[in-house]
Amino acid sequence: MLQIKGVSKSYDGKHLACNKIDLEIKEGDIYGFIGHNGAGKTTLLKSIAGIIDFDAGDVLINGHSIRTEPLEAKKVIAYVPDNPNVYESLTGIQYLDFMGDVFAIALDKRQHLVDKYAQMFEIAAVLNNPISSYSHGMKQKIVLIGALIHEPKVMLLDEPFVGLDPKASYLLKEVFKDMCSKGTLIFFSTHVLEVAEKLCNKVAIIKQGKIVANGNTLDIVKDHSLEDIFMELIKES
Amino acid sequence: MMYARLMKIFLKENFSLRRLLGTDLRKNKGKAILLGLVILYALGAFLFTFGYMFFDFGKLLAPLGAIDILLLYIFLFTMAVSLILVLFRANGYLFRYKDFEILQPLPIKTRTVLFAKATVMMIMNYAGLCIFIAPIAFSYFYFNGFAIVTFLLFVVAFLLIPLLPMIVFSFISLLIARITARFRKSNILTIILLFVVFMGIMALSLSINYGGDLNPLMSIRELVDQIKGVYLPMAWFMDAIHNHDLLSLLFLALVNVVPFYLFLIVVQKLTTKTNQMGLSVVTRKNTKAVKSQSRPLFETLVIKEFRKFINVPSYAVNAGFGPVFLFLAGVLGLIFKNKLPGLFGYIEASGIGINAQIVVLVFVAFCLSTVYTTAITLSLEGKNFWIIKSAPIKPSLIMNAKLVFNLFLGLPFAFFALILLSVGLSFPLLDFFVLVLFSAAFALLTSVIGSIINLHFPKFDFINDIEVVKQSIGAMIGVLSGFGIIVIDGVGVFFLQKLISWELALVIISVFDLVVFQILFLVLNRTSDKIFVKLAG
Repeated sequence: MLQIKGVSKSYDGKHLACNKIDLEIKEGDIYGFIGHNGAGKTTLLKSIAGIIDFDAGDVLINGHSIRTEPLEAKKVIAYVPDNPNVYESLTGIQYLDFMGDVFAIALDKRQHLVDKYAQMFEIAAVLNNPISSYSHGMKQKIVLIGALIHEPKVMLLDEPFVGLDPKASYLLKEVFKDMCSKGTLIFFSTHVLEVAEKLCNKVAIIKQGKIVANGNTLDIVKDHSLEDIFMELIKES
Repeated sequence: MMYARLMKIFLKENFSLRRLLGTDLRKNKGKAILLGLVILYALGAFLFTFGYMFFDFGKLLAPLGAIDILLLYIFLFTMAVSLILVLFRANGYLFRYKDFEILQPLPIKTRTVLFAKATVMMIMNYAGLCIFIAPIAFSYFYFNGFAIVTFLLFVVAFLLIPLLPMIVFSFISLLIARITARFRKSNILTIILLFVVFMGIMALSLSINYGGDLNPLMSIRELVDQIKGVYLPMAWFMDAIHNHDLLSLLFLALVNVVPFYLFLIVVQKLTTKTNQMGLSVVTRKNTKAVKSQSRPLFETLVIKEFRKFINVPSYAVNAGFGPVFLFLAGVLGLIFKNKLPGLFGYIEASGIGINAQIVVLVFVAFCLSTVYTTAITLSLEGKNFWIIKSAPIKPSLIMNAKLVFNLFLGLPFAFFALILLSVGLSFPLLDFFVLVLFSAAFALLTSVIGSIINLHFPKFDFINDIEVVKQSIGAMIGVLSGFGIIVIDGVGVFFLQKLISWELALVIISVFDLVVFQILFLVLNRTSDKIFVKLAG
C-alpha cells in the first residue's frame, strides 16, 4: 500500500509545488493523477520515488517510510520518468541486466521476463545495440521493461504513454491491468483524460500543488466526462 | 542584431555562475566559503609553481636581453592549450550542438549561429588560456617594463593567435568524429585517436626542444631564431609586441582573421549537415541471441563505471592520461634501462638531495593525481541520476564502487611502472615495496578525497560532458588536491629523512596517508546517505 501523508514541497521557499498532499493507494488500484502543467504531478511522483526530498509529511510504501527506510521502500518500487534518460552508452540488454542486478532478479526469471517484454514491445532485435541508437519510443520501452522485470509492487509512472506507438500503448494498458489483478498498485500521471477515465479505477486531480478531487473514477465522473470535471475544477479559484 | 541576441542567450547559457559551478552559492554559504578557499589554494599553488618558475625565468633572461623569449612561451602555450581545448570542444560547439533542433527552425542565418557558437567556444578557450599565460605575461611586463601600447598590442595579438589552431583542430575533431562514426566501437576508437594525436604532439614538441646543447639558454635562443624563420606567425607575434611592429601585427591579423572568416563560410553547410546527421537515428537489427548476465551488485556498479569511462572520450582521455603515461614510462624504462642509471645519476649528483626512487615516486604520484574519476563521476550521472537514485542501492555503496573503479584505473598501471622502473634502475627489493606501499596509500587517499569533493560539488546540469570533465569545480579540486598531497607528503619526507632513513620516512608518511584515508572513508560512508537525497539530479 502507498500512503502519502501531508507531503509538502517547495523549491524556492515561497511557493508550494505540493501542498499537504494526502493520498492512499491500495493494492490493485490503477490510480490516475491529473493536473495542468506545473501543477505538481512530477514533484509528487519524484518525492514518492525518493528522487527529491520533501519539506514535510511522509510517504509510506508497504509501511516503509521513503525517508527513514529508503532501501526497503525502493525495493518494491518501479519509477518511470517522463523523459526516458537512460545510460546511452549501454546496450539495451546491459541496461536491463543492470536493473536485474540492482533488484537481484534470478537469472532464469530475468531471462524469461526480458524475452517476454522485449518481444511484446518489439525491441528484442535491438537489445544488443547501444541505447544511443534507439528512437525516443524505443528508449521509453527499455525504461518500461527495466521497470517491469523486477515485478514491482508499486509502479510510479510519469506520463508513461507519451512517445509510445498505439500498439505499445495498448499493450502497456494490458500489462497494467494484469499487474493490478495480481496486487500491484499503479500510480501514474497523464494528460490524456480518456486514458485515465477508461483505465483507472481511481483518479486524483491536482491544482497548484493541492489535491482538489480524488476517489473512485465513477464517483467523480458520475454522468459527465472526466474532461468536463477537470475543466470545471481547473476553472474554480 | 541577431548575432548580439544569440550571444546574449549563449553567454547566459554557458557562463552563468550556476552553470559554471554547478551550484547556487547564494543558497549555501558553507559551500561558498569552501569554494573561495579552494580557489585561493588553486591560485596560490599555481602562482607558487608555474608563476614562480616563469618569474624566475624572466629574472634570468632580462639581464641577457632575451626577455622576448617569454613571448615565445606565451605563443607556444596558447597554441598547445588551444588545440587541446578545440579538439575536445569543437564537435560539441560547432558540429553537434545540442540546441540545433531549437535553432534550426528559426529564421536565423546559419552563418550567424555558427559565428555566435564559434565566439562562445573561443571565449571559453580564451578564459582557459588566460590562466596559463597570465603568469608568463606578468613576468614579461615586470622585467620588460609596462607600457600601455605594448599591453594593447599584446592583447590584440593574443586574441588573434588561437584562431588558426581553432580552424585546423576543428577539422581534425570533425574528421575523428566522422571516421569513428563508421565503426561499431566508435567511442573506443575516438579515445585511441585522441591519444594518438596528443602523444604525437608531445613527441613532436619534445623532439623540437631537444637541442643537444649543454647550455639550455643558448638552445632556446637558437630555437627562437629557427622557429622564427620556419613559422612566421610566431615571429610576427613577437615582433608586434616586443618591437611595436605594426606591420607584423597586420600580417598576424591577416593570416588569422581571413582564414577564420573563410572557415565560417566554408563550414556552414558542413555544420548543418553534421548536426542533421546527429539527429537521425539508425537502429540496426541484431540477430545475435540476447543473453542476460547476472553479477553481484557491487561488481555491476563498478562495471557500470568502466562502461561509462570507455564510452565518453573526453572523460577517458583526461582521466586516463595518467595510466597511459605510467604504462609508457614502464615500457620505455625497461627498453632504455641502460641509459636510466646515467640520467638518474645526473639528478642525484646535482646536489638537490633527491634520489632516483623519490623521482620515480613523484612521477607515479603525479600520474595518479590525474586519475580523478571519483571527483567527477557522480556529476557525469547527469540526467541519468534518477536511475541510481530511485533504485534500492545504498548511496555509500554507489560511492564505494566509484572509488574502487578509480583505484582499478590507476593502481595497476602504477604498480606496472614501478616494477619495470625498479628493474631498470636496479632498486633494492625493500625500496620497491616501500614505493608500492606509498603509491597504494596515495591512490586511496586521493580517490576518497575526490569522492567527497564530488558529493559536495556535483554538477548534473551540463550540456557537454567536457563541462564536467575539464571545467567543473570537482575536476579542478580533484586534480589540485592530488598535487597538494604530493607537496604535503614531500614536506613530511623531507623533514623526516633528516632524522631517519628515507625508506622509513616514506613508510611513516604512507601510514599517515592511510589513516587519513580511513577517516575520510568513514566520513564518506556516513554522509553520502544524507547528501544523496538532497542532490538535485
